[in-house]
Amino acid sequence: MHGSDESRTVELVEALLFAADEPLSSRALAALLDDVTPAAVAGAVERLRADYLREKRAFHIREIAGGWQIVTRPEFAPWVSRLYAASTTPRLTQAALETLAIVAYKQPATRSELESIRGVTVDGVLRTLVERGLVRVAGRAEGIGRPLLYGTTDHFLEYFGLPGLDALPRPEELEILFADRERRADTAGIGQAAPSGGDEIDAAEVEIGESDGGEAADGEHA
Amino acid sequence: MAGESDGAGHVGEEAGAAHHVRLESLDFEGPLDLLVYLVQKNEVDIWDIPIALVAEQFMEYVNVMTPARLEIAGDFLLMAATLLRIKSQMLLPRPDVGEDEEIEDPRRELVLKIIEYQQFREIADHLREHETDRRQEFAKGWLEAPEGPDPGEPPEPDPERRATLSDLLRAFAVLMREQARDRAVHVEPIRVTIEEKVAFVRERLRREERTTFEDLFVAGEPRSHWIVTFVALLEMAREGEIRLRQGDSFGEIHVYAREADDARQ
Repeated sequence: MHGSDESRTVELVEALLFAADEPLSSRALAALLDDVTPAAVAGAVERLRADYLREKRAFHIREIAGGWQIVTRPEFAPWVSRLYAASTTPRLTQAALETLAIVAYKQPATRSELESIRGVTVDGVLRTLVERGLVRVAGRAEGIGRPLLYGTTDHFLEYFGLPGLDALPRPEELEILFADRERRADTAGIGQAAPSGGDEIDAAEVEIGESDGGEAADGEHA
Repeated sequence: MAGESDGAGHVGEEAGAAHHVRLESLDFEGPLDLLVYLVQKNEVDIWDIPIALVAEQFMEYVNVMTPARLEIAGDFLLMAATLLRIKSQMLLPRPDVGEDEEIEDPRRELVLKIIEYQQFREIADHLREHETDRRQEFAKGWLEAPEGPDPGEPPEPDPERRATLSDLLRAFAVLMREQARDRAVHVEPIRVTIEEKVAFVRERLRREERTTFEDLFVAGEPRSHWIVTFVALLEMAREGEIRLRQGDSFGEIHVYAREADDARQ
């Protein structure tokens, strides 16, 4: 690619990111451009990013939901938020966040799986999450009643500004509150109190893969 | 209500801080949330939870909370039952077994559940941080439906929304509490059937366009009759024969025959 082509690509990518109202992936951008590879698009985005930073622009490029989006810099939030004061969506409740966290790691998950972990019913919360487009029905489990399976959406990633599901912390990265689980293992005279292998507590240890393509949920999630 | 916490006594239950925990003003997402709080508050080892102490504090909270949050009371009561079961298992003498045999700690399953829940709570905290950060950065399309309903013309609110099951349970609990106040406790056989009470409600609704929930509970009747009335109302509502409506939360609940309610719209 010639130098002029390259700067042309940068301009085109900038125009598309500016005009879009959702994150665009390098593949989506490449598809909109003529004879430009996703790799070249990614390079162009990096150029733009560096330019914005160097020129101290009021916005920067964020990687969200597997794509890129131009967003205003956080330091301008107090003023920009005035512009939208009347129409910002309410923050999620604690119950909604907890439920979402479980859906994100356990997906596709049935309602009863979510309820078992939270210890409370999740009917209302789940409905709100589906209405807000953060959770979707991802199929049905095998087994009695063929319960619905839930998973997160791309909007979930957008809402939290996450590049992908793998941007969530790995279970082992969590600073677990009760970290001293080894300590009292044999002092209380209750036999094996501490988990030896720990295969029960790695609940959050799941494949964090693509949230898409799970429509045909079968057998194994019964 | 439970008085002083008793933290000492049982084997393996010497909690460092067995002080009284003030729970009334706190709000918990669910029973596990409350348990995590109690474990932290008492600064006890998660692998050696003093079940007697925690069960007592748990029940204390449940007693205070139940009337106000009936929709989740069941979840709390289920956990309370679990705690009491574990407590009783802990009191049983342990069978004499050899070194090699594993004795399952009755608390183990619960502890694993608490830990799992706590992990997800930390992930939820993590998501909250992302939510906060994300709200500092604005992009086009970040806002949902700017062309939504015109704020100048809010939709006409139905002055009487449908009463939910928890509204009914709350109203019924209030009635029963008041009745209990001026009656000595005595047990009597139930001398009324649901069918009779259904007929009674039908009769009332034939004569009046609507009646209040409260009016259907006849003063002076024994508690058992009131319970049957309540079940009759639930049954009729389920069948769609009557509609229960409420002006505002904790307000008076009105009972309409379906036809009367349809005509009202």
